[in-house]
Amino acid sequence: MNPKIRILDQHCVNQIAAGEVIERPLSVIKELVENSLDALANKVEITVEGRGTSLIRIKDNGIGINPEDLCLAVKPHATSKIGKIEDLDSLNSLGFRGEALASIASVSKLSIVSRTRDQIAATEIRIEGGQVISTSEVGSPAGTTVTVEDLFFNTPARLKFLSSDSTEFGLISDMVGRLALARPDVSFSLRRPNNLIFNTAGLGDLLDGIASVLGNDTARKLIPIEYNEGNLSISGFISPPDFSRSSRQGITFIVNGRVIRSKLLNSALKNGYHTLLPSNMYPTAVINLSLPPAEYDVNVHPAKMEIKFKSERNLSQVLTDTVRKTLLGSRPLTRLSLVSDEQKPYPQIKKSDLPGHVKSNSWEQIRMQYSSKTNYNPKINYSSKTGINSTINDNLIPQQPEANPVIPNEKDDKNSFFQDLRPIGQLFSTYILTTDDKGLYIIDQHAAHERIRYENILDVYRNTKTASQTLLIPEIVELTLQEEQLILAHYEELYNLGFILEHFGERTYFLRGVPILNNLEAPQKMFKLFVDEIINNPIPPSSERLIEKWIFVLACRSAIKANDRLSLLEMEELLMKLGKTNNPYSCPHGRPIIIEISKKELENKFNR
Amino acid sequence: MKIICKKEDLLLGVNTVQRAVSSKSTLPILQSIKMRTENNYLWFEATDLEIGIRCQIPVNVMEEGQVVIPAKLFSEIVRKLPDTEIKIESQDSNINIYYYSSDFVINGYDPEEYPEISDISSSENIEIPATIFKSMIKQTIIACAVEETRPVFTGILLQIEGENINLVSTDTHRLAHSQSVIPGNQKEFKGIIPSKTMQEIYRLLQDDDILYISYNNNRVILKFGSVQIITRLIEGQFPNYKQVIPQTCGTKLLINTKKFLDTVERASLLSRDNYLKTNTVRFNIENSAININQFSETGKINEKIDIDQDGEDVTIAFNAKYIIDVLKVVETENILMESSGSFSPCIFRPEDDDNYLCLVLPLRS
Repeated sequence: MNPKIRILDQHCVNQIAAGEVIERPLSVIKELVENSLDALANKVEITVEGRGTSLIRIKDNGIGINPEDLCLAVKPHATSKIGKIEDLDSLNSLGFRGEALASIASVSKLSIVSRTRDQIAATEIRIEGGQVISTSEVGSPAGTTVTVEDLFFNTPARLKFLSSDSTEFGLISDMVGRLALARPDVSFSLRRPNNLIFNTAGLGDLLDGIASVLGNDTARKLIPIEYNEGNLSISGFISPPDFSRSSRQGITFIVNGRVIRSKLLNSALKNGYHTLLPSNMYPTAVINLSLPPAEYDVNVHPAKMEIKFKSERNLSQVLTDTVRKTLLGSRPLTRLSLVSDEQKPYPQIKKSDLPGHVKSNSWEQIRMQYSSKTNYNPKINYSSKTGINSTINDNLIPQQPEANPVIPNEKDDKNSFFQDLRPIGQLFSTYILTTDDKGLYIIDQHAAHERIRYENILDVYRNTKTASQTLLIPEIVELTLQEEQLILAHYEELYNLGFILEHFGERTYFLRGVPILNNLEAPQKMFKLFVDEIINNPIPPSSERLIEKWIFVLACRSAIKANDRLSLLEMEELLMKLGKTNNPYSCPHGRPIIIEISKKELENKFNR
Repeated sequence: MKIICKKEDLLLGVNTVQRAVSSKSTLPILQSIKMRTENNYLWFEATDLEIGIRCQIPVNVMEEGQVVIPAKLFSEIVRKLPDTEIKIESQDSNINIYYYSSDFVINGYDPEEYPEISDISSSENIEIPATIFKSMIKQTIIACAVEETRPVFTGILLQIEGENINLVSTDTHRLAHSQSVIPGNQKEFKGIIPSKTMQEIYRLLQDDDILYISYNNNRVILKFGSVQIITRLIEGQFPNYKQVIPQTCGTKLLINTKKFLDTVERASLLSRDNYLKTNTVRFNIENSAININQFSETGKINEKIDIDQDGEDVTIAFNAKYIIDVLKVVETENILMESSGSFSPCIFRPEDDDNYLCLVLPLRS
């Protein structure tokens, strides 16, 4: 017997819909905080108990909800943010679907206390599993407080698939951190019952927000990034290449105040670091994009974490270029810190704070000093001591912390820097010691020469048309549907690269020619490699990006190696040529070329 | 086993079979050489299971027997032995080498464990003079593929069709075909012989040898002088080479081989040395001359050689290495070049010799 088709009741519909919007406790927080922000709050307090299922409370000082609207607000598709679908094109609020509160209400015990500024008393509404239990008048400051208890109490399956307390709370604090970065003008605080996790001042300074969320150490190292043209502007901070991490965790993208995830922007950012970072390392970045709402669509998924851009190619190109320009302009030298605390630009760190000089005033300081000693490394100090020390002096943090000590410079400056460098000698027949009388710079001769060769070869490649070796017996290549589409879309790049393809049958192609480049692999394998490269990279790669692995090999083989003795003349020549490259700071694989030890560091080390 | 022999004979035996010894193997015994006595001869045997080489030297056998001895150590020792009478004696798996009043003892392996290089019991036998076969190998081995991804292209096709014997090789960028006549032969055979084996045959063949080839489905045995080489065949289908060789051409050129080779080699100096190391050479063929005008970041070259031209003018580019390879194995004074346009396969063959041709695919840019 066939089951009868019927229309689901409203409660059931809400619960299913809730599954999309409210995936885990973190989604509750994201939705409610966005409501607060849409209500023009400049202070948002978040309290979370456990992993967020027992209690989540969001308190804001926004405009509040009219008492008569309160019952309506928890109904599905009820919103004050848009009136018709065209409003989406000029949307300024974060929310618009009118689903969040209804969804939360249907899977939890919810209470909302809200007072608008011209009301005397606040109204409280209590809802359980979507049913209004009570409404009453209570006393409360202006704004809205939403309390969510027993989340998922009526959807045990969801509850069962949540992770541990620490994982869920980790996700929550990560999300709140990102929301705070998106709105430095709003004061955020995240609390557990007896514990303040972090709070931001809400004074509108992004760097200040970064210091609160990502740590002072990070804030100190980041470089500002700026782009303004037409209706697109990009602002924010990115990390210098020597401050990288092994995951994308440190990257936050904000589009018009909305925190988003974007594979496209991620790889555009990463491309900006191309050859500055090893391929498995990622930068830390907080990037604000502002562009007209009509230029993108947030209505891709109910969670609104993903958005679609109208001009993807252009946007990612602009981001990549901006990042690259900023990085290369900032003279991204790797600094070798001889003295652990020396390079702190925060003025409150005095010499007396150096190891051995700490005035141990409090237990806290003694403890910190001790703990940092355990990972004290006399040569290169990556310890978190800097961060810890400044946390102690939290109240002393100046409002305008000096940004990265290296001010972004233009290309001329890079040249003049290299012009001033003169070689002192060679160390271990591997490193060139140089100075400009302001510091000591140690240059890896192989990396430097590799960079020069790489750019030379790339230059030649750009100016020569790659010849294609035709094949006597064509290779038969079978492609998947996806591959075929990509191949057809990038046919021209592949052709320019030297691949001659001929359609043979359904998803089958004859490979009739392959690029004539030395050290390349078997035609079909090579072709597949390129296809994979195209598939893995959402931004269409240029043909030179496709063959650059082979250029790397050519560059590496033809470069001088470690243990090659160099004369002073050769070193001078190498420095001169290095100065002329586009990126003299890292080798094509992303390893640093130059390490700097400043004069000041040396003086400090010698107690002068 | 107990034998007395001369150092130079010993060295000859070791040198002959050594290339068949595995350089790396999970089976340590494959890194050794087997020696066994037979009617006052000492047989040397080595195999890496793909190729097996046997050879015999005359010795004075005092006690029959066999030993398996680590190849690298043994060959080094033999090289350094004094030029005198050597006595080799085995006790269990220990092998004693006596010279003057000294001796050297090597721990060997159990001969029973050494893989048997089995003979082919076949009456099918083809006879061909060594000089002919050597030159056929030399002319075809140049076009073998180096990379292992498509195994059939790493070998040379041996095809016997009645009175014709053919060797064919291709790496899909070029194809070399050499043929010869075996008078009176009626048999048919087709198999792909690994290029490594062909190299060994080429190395070991003496000009006055007569080569006997016999075969079965998956192996070929080649006997000449005191040497026997047994090789596995490469599995797979060799492409139909006859189909891809063009029968007509639009331009026929007769070029002095030596001049042509020198010219291409000079031009290649420039293109080989450029940053991309692409090693291309472009011929402008017009008015009975080949012109090469190339430049790179290091310099430029203008070459012109006069030729006999029959047919249309053509501009065609090649990987210079492929041209140099073929010009080096053609021994006639002049070489014939047949082209059918910039993008079509080009044929090179010796003047007045239909037995060899090399097809080279042009570059397209």
